[in-house]
Amino acid sequence: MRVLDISVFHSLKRALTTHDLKYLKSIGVDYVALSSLDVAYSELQKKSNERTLKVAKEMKLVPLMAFNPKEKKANDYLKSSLKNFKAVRVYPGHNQFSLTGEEFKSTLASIEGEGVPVVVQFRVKWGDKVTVKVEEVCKLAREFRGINFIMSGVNYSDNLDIVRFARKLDNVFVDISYYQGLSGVEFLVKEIGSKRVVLGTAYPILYPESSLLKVLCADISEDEREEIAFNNATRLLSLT
Amino acid sequence: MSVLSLLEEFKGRIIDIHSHIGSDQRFLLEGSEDYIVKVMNRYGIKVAFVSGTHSLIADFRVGNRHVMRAVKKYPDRFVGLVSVNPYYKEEGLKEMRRYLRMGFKGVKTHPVYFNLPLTDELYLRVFEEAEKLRVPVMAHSYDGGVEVSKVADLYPNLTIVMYHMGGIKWKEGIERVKKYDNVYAEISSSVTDRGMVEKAVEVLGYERVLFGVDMPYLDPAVSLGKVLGAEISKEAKEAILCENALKFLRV
Repeated sequence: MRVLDISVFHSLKRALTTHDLKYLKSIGVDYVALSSLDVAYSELQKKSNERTLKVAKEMKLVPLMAFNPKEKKANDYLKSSLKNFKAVRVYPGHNQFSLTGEEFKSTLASIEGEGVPVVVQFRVKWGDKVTVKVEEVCKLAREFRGINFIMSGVNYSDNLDIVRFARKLDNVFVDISYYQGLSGVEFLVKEIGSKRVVLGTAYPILYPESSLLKVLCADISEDEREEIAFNNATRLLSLT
Repeated sequence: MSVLSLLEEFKGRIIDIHSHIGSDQRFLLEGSEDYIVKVMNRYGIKVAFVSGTHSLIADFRVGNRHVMRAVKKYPDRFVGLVSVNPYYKEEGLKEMRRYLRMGFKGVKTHPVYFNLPLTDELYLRVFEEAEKLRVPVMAHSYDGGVEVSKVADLYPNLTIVMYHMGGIKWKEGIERVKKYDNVYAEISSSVTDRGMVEKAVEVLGYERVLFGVDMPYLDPAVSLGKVLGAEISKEAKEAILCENALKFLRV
């Protein structure tokens, strides 16, 4: 079975190396989508994303843009650079912006219809104070039906909200990288369907083996497993 | 080696020192004994030490009864831990003695759900009794081991399993309990920071690191991934996953 990891990070402090890729390959990750973490910690996005593009090109990875709408002329940068990336990742808690504020909504309006999903990062480290809510993402998803939203960093404490707000929104997806609850993958498959779950590991922050085991050992059909491990992310990121 | 091949080496021999019987509808988590056994089978967990979910969030006596029912139904799969609400004073201690006489192997404490520091006089009575009866105390710890280390200071002959290894502050937790040979670190929690198991082994030695899952809250994949992914020797993995907890069966 092929595996595409939608949540691998690099930063100035922790560059991704060929050794990392070999390691991921050895435990079962075939393809990697890479995002910069530095944008979450206030590095200018242009610089960070250029580094992502460079590394992705050298190592044959899928580049995701890390985007901070609070930067000056952020939307201009987004529009001019979006073509180089397969998704936009935002860190609302770290960059202290409101998901439902007018600033970010204008960003979303400008990319609706471009076919690029938005990954909303709830947390990066386990000690992070999580300010993002499932309800807010779902509110955006209702308003911007032409954009797929991937919630990354949710945990089992979000289960009630996932059922209440996300269940009926087919443009809301869940990345399991920080989703640790018992039989969490089975729960998501039952509540929102296997086509809306994607595999992320948050490597090198977290042990990637945990997320892989969640999917590989889940009590689901092989077709569902393949969708979660590979097909859904491939479709979302428009990879062929 | 693929992660499934890594798991295969330990399947059927893994001992979980920290789980619960009972569902938690606040998070829509299923925790009946039948379901827990089904999950254990899927991951190759042979035995789980369990306390009652309801003991923490509703009534400690109800939770203990659930555990007893589970142990009777699956005597080869579950080892009972008795929960004590220290506010119930003598009634709690009686409950503790009764379940220990019936074969339970340890005492579960939770300072957060019971809203009482482990060093409160009410809790100290529980620890005194546990020390006297020579049974281990399993203590929830998300404060970097602060409370656990205070109890370890007071009761050097009491065996303490520091559940969650101190939580988000796991680095502090490990360092803080280093000097207490009677304290063991159990690795379960949502926190899966790379390097945490390696650090625990480096500071405490692998003999003092225990594998736990914390069902029905967490999936076994979470803790298994930490151990299988850790850059430690195969011997250390074997000890953490399959051997270290055996000493608590012999109590």
